[in-house]
Amino acid sequence: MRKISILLATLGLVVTGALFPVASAQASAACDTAWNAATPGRFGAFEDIHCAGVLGSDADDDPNWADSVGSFQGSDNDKASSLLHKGNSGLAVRVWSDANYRGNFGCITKDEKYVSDLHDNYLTGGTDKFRAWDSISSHEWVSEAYCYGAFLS
Amino acid sequence: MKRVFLAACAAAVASVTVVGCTTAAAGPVSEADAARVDAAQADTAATERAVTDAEQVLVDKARELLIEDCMAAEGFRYRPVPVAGVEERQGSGYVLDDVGWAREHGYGTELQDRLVAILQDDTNNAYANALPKAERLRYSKALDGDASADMLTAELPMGGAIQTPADSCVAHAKGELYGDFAAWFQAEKVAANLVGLYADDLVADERFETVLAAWSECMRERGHDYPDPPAIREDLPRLTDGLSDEKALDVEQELAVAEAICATRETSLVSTTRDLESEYRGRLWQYRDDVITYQRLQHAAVEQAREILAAEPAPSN
Repeated sequence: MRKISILLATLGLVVTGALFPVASAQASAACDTAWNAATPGRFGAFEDIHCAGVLGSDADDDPNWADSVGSFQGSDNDKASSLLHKGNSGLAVRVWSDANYRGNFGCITKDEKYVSDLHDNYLTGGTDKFRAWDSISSHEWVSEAYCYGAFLS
Repeated sequence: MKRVFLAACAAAVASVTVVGCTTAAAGPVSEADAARVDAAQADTAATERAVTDAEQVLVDKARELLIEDCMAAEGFRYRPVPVAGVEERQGSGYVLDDVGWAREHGYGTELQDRLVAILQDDTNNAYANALPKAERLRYSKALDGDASADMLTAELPMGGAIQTPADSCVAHAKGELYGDFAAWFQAEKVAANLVGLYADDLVADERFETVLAAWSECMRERGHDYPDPPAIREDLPRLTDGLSDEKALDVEQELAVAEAICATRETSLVSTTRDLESEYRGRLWQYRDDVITYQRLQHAAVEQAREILAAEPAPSN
């Protein structure tokens, strides 16, 4: 199926999209363990901080975590509190606050391995910040170039 | 991210130039800030151009070769992962600035889908998954590092920090290319995340609003009534719903070409926005050192990459 990526968020202003932590990132022994055990090529999300309570993992995109299709379904929506990325070089996972890759977004790259506590992060993509925890409703794999940049290109 | 150097005052599309060429300020600037901006502008000659997409492709290819060597030294097989080409690095900005690219790729949806599919089809994953558990863990730590070991931390411009393992084959490869992985990690995270500091102000700038209105009028005259480029991207799923890939690309191409023509030939949306972006980035004097370091290390990496690739035997067909 053809996938349309909404390249910019609703307000379409900010191209950059690291998962912006509001506090210093903390290494997490539990996330280390989860990351080491994770299958290469996959993205994972957890209900609790420190990579506890697996919601699911996915090597593909999932445009709607609330529906009954894909790796994330139904009650997974708006539940994630930590994430890990064990995908491939050059690929980032872009997580969105709304289904169908809309709303505010953030990216996790392979370099960063995991986000142990989304309460310390916010999503961006518009003129405002948006909480990252209990907010993720879709995700897609993108080339890292789509997560950084300047305003124009 | 498209990195294009445009000489003189055009400054750069996605470059991380420290200063801009326009001097008019949209908002009040304190004397102290103005002095710092002046000082930064005086340093223009000290900054280098941003590397081009073609140069970045070289760096990425060399990185993969270095990872391969490093992993071999650890006793593992690693196949260099394909890297995004020049065309695949375009089209992610606020507005399309290349009519030829738009005519061929529309908004680049197929291009990106194909790239992601190639990157996901990474034979290294199958290799790693076939290893015994203990070896798989060692492979993982050798390639990407151990997050429970030494970590590098970079402070982000919009607050907070981000971490990455200091020791891994990926870190080693980047260290070889950039000369100093820790310095690169810090500089790159800052330079790549500055846009959030000025995007709101840029779009509220009267000069931007004026040229955007002209662009919107140009689009309306061509039968596409949109207030700004992001509105088109938002509308694409509706416009292409149920269409074949071929028909969907036709829809994308028509809109993308109109967007790019209106932005580059019929109005000055692209050039004005470039100038404004350069100007607003120029005000971020407090990040000047990181940006200069970022550019310096980028260029060092390009030279390293050229040497590495030149020493590589040509692939046999």
